[in-house]
Amino acid sequence: MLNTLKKLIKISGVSGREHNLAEFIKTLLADYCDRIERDTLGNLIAFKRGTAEKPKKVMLAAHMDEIGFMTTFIEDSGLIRFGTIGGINFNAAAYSEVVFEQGIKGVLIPDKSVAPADYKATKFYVDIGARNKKEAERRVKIGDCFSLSPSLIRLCGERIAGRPFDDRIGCAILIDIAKKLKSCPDDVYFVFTVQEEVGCRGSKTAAFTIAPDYAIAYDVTSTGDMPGADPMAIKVGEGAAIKIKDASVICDNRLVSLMQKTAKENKIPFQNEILTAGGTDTSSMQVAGNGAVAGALSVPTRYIHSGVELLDIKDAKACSALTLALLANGLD
Amino acid sequence: MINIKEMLSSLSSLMSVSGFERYDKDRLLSLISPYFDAYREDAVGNFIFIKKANNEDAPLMLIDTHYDEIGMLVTDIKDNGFLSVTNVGGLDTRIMPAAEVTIYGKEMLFGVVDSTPPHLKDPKASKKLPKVSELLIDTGYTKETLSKIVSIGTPVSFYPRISELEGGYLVGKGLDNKACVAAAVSAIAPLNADSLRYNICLNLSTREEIGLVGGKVGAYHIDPDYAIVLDVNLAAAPDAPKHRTVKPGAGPSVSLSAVTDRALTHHIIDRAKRAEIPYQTVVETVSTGTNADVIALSRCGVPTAVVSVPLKGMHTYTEAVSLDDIEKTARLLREILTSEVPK
Repeated sequence: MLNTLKKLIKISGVSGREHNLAEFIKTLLADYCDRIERDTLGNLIAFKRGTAEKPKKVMLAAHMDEIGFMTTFIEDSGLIRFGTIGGINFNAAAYSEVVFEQGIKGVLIPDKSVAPADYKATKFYVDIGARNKKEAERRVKIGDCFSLSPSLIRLCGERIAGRPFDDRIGCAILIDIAKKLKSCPDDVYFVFTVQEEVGCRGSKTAAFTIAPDYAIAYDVTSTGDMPGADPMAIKVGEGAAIKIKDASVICDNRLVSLMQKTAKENKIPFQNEILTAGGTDTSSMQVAGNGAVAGALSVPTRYIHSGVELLDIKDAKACSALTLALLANGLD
Repeated sequence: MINIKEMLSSLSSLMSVSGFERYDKDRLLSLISPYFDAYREDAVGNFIFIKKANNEDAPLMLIDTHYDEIGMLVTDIKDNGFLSVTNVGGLDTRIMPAAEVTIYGKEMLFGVVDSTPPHLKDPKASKKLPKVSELLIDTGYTKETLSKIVSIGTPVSFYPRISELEGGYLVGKGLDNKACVAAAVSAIAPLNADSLRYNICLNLSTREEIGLVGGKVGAYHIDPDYAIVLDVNLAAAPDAPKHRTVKPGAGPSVSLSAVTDRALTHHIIDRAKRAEIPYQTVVETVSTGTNADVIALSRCGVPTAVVSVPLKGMHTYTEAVSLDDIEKTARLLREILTSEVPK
């Protein structure tokens, strides 16, 4: 799981620009599925056939995209102005290294006269070291995307910090499931979605195409285990978080109960998640087309959307193990 | 060739406040139908014009240009014969006092929005802008007479008047988005079935200003292979930030955004370059604020691009558009419709 994650974070995938990441995941999964293709919006859909006579369709989704920035304007000085893609925390992003999709590096700097409380996109610029506009324009074009540089450091036990774990950890879980899944009654669609960070867009069209009976999203969730955190009964390292509700969805309670029961029977550590802010692909899969029985398994993560997102790989492994146990018996 | 100035002047005069787009339907159809093979409507009142290519299997291209305009609805007839209103779409109350309006009741009435002369204003009174609900329209009628012509829910629009600015600019109301309707019709009109690489559905969509309604419904049942949304974009003004606006008179703008399809967008830019049509790019990071935001996510997803005509004074009764920009937008659209998107 950790090795897959290390590879996945190195490939840039700002919302709308997930192409390279999709092509990489395709190479990882080619041997483990019956069919693999990309759809109109760029979602990567890997299909594994079920053994039942009339198999149900199960859609497992993790989003490939990460938050980032898009170049809007290049100053005469060669400094680069940008707009945001997804929820950027500028206090966490100030004075960080950034990397453009074509590999150019730069640093993200706030206007010196602006107080941290007033940070916003229009008060920041990227310095790529260009001497003037002309030199900058040779390397960066209007519309080019960039993000904070990827990183991964090992901490105590199996805990790690870095970025973008939201939601490459979900992608790593899906890849782990696909590799370990022997045969199961249901048809399984492993879907690596696009544009989750800007409104759960990819999962809408993918769920419309697939029309799943069951849908599970894999994403990070907040925790209540750090100073100043909103009260929340989720802790890093305490197991897979079975989502009951977030700001965008109330998960189907039949699926929630099945997840809880399966976790108990298989002695897989789990916690029940109620997230008061934020949403996931769960919501769009629940209501696409004729609708689906939808839920989510989350990896508790501190400092989400910063450069040092912190999680415990054991929790991700629990999400994978619980899914394999669910699929072995069939979801029906 | 269509005379863009005449076409746009006629379109601007049509009443099309969101939800009331049918009001001048006959005049709309007589302006546009002659250039198309077929016409149909749907449940939300979209006006859909169809033009076929010679090749039946050609991909289906949706061109979406919303036809509705912002306006008001009557909410009350006051004892003194004044009308109060609510807004339909984004109405800026800074421009409302003393504005001229048309009230589309059983008869068309002229009205002016009440404004207190400076002589009578308490200098200590609040400098805050009036709320829409505080605006009053003076028609000169008594309540008794007015009640026979106007009822609660009667639509009100800016008074239709077309004028010109030096440099080829047309000025009037509702040019958002009739400038683009004019561009689309004038692009498609001269094309014959042999030259078309797509079967075309031109959707003059309804209710865009109140939540992208027609665009969403239209895309669902038209189920196109590609979509191009034509909408106006904010043109640079002396007091507007440069990086959020486009240059008026510098040609159509093409949107770079997460929601738009890069391959289709690059194809459009490539056609503009080859045909030497001046164009500009505009970054709209996450979403475009146009029908493209919902069309791209329709069904299994639709590759969608946005081409825009720069418009000064958006959402006023003196919106100003360069006729040359409309003409260049039409030329670009014609280039797109007569070429294939590379696979």
